[in-house]
Amino acid sequence: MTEEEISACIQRANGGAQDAHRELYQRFHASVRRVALGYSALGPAEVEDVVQETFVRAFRELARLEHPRAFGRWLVTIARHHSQALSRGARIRGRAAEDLALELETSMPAIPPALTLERRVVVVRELIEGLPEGPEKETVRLFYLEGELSAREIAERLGLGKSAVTMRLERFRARVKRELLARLLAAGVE
Amino acid sequence: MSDASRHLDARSWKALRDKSPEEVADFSTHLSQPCEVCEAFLERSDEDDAFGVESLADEALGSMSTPREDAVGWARLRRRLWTPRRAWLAGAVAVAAAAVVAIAVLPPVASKEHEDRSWRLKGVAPMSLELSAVARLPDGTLHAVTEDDLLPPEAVVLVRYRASEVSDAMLVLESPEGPAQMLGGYTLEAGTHDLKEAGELAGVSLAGEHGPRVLVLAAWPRGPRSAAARDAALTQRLVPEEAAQARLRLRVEPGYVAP
Ligand SMILES: [Zn+2]
Repeated sequence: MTEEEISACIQRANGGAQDAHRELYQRFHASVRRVALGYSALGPAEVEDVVQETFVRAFRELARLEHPRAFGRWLVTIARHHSQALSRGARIRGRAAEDLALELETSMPAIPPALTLERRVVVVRELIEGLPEGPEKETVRLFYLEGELSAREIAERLGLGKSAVTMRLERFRARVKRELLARLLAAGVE
Repeated sequence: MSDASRHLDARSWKALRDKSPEEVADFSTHLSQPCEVCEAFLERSDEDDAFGVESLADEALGSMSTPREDAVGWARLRRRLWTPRRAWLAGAVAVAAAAVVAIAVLPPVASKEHEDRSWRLKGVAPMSLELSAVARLPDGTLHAVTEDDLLPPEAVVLVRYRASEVSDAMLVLESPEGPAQMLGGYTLEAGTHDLKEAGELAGVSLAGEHGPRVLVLAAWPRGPRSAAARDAALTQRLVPEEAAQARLRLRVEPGYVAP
């Protein structure tokens, strides 16, 4: 789906078209689920709850989304808040998390051309390729490139503790953030 | 960097947030190379996402593999979001409903005034469109819906159409009191068919409705602009004159049980 297609889809969804909601769900559910699956404290049912809650919130508040281009980032932001709250054992009730996510959206900065989703995907791919052969690379490859297993399942497969897998994933995610921040700052310098 | 050993910490983070030109320039260089100290800082600092890197990272990381269709998750989400307005019938009920609709479709329900109207997109041949419906009642029985039928709010209405050609369409529930409810966009086939969505019968729940309602199926013969016209209508929440329309008037009465 191109950016234009996503924008058109969001517009139709705002008009109540259910097929547009379906297209958005099918396009984005995997990214949302990946966020939740990284939390080894969450069981399969809780992961699905995060996916559901994220889309329910997002679809109900869709009209408030200022920039259709921010939709994907908005979803993963909501998903991370839910996942964090759930993994801490604090079931989200009330509006706190929702407000937080919405606030983030409205302040969500525009992204420079160097950081389009396509470019970022290339950055991540290069970072994975650049990792030395070893446990971190294996974990990251299984989790992000194969895109089917949860952190829990990877722990079982590799014979590791659950938290060890989450730690490796968080470590790699920090590398990605470092690389993206460098590019974001460089774009500000130009 | 003025101090070559400086890494990300609370102080430099704040300077970056404040867009200190020197800090921005220094860190854009420093962070372009792996740095365990800075990465450890970024790993911890998830509560203050001043630059939006958390979501930039998550979105990219979630896009590394090709998503597969998630029919189960979508079905669950759909039930949550569109119940009670939308309803879907499955299995034996759907089969039985389809059979009753087949009977209900003769004679066609589309009213005379609409048959007379010329549905003409500029330069496009007119199409004909008819609509009929069957209601599934609270006791599980099926009832062929006729014009001005009384139905209880617990009823679920299934729609069947007859279209002269392939078209892009939308289903709308109109009410004299409030704005029309856009029930969704569909593709119609030529001939007589049940209105379906993702292979399932599309049902309209009447929960929460009271009084006269009109179910409207509006269609645009398939062409280069038909889907766009339909989508624009959905967005504007209006049924435009130029669309082919078939209407079915209902009356929703709480407690009423159709004979
Ligand atoms: Zn550093």
